[in-house]
Amino acid sequence: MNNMHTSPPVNNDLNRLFLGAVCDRESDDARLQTAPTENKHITDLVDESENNRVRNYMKKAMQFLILISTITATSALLASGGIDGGGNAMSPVTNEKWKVECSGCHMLYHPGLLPERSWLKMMNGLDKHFGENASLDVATRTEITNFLVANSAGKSTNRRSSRIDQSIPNNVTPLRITETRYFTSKHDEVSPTTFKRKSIGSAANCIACHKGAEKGDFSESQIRIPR
Amino acid sequence: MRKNIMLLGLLSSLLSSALFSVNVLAATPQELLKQYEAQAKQENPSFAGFSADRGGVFFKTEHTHSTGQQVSCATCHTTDPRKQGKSRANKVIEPMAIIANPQRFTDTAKVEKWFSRNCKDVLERSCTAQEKGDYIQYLISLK
Ligand code: HEC
Ligand code: HEC
Ligand code: HEC
Repeated sequence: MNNMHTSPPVNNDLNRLFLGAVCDRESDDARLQTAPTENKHITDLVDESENNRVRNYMKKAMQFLILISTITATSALLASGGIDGGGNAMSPVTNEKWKVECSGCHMLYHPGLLPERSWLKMMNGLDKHFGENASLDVATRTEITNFLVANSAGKSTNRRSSRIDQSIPNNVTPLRITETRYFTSKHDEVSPTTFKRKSIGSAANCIACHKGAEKGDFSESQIRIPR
Repeated sequence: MRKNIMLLGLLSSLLSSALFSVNVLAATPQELLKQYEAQAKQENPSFAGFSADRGGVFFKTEHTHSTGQQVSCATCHTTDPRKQGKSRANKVIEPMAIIANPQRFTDTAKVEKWFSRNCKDVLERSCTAQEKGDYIQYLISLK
């Protein structure tokens, strides 16, 4: 249980992370793999002479305990970025408020796509957000800002996020991912008319071509340009 | 050992129940109308009820925004609110008519948030309780 409190606060809300881990497929897999063997091992330690009621109780309690600790361990792993470390796919971070509030008008943009200063500037001008009013109450805005900052491009150990960060000159604070040199260099072979297709809309609609965009997965095997 | 397990078990279940409790301000479209009615009576002593027809006109009326653009609620929510709409950033917006989307007007905080944003975007002012009530009445009336 200690992990819950000592793991690094990459995600601004560990409760959310915990929830995320519960729903996460990876943690399910981990649970399926560990629970039966560990469980057997521990029940073996129980003295044979103890009555069945106690044994059943122990068994149930241990199963639950193992489930909880597996989930906790997985969240700690996720929080430390342990799963993808320096890899290409961005960390599977999530926050409930971010998911609800930043997905109404467009796809969810992964926090690892922009540096801290960009998110701060954006979150301080939500009433005039690309010509629209996206304002939030102070508490919600603060929670989302903290989440975005904690997982922003410069703070991630992820290779792609680091490259995005490095492609932006220090004296520039882009509000658009599509304006970064990283983005333009990766898409120099995609013509402007392709981005304007009805099925796509604009370059900002990453998910039209990158199926895993909302999870921060832009790997080449996942790219498909719609007609 | 047993005591520890019990304690841990208790702790974990407390933790999970706290984590899984969700609080939303659940409501029905009718309950929302009641709230707007009370507000409308305060705003206007001669308030005489909501009208689906007026709501329909409000939904479709185009306004010239100070940026020069012609906008209405129908710009994003489409002239037939039983159909899916589209945001400016090309994301599908689920239908607004209750018949096509029973989720609509069931969360007071969400409804107020979007009225506040979209009225400012389209009308460059807040909507009155009368306008909000007419709008909901119209979306309920569609069959
Ligand atoms: C009321 C609608 C609305 C909401 C809510 C909203 N946005 Fe946006 N956002 C837009 C529009 C419109 C654009 C411009 C899209 C375009 O040009 O295609 C945009 C663009 C963006 C872009 C730039 C994409 C690019 O690279 O061109 C980012 C990043 C972004 N929004 C983040 C957020 C975040 C974070 C939140 C939540 C706090 C949020 N948005 C909530 C309407 C919204
Ligand atoms: C019109 C479809 C389309 C849209 C929209 C689009 N991309 Fe791409 N993207 C591509 C294609 C095609 C490539 C591969 C280009 C190549 O290999 O020459 C690519 C490559 C990439 C790569 C590099 C992949 C790699 O591993 O080499 C990244 C990162 C990326 N896109 C991010 C984004 C982001 C972020 C957005 C939204 C802000 C976006 N893309 C929007 C089509 C698109
Ligand atoms: C620029 C695009 C746009 C325009 C114009 C627009 N809306 Fe919306 N509206 C949205 C989006 C995006 C959502 C949230 C997406 C969702 O809930 O599916 C939304 C949601 C709403 C909701 C929330 C309903 C619910 O219970 O889920 C209300 C109420 C609303 N709009 C009212 C209006 C009114 C009134 C107007 C005209 C004065 C208007 N909108 C014009 C984009 C727009």
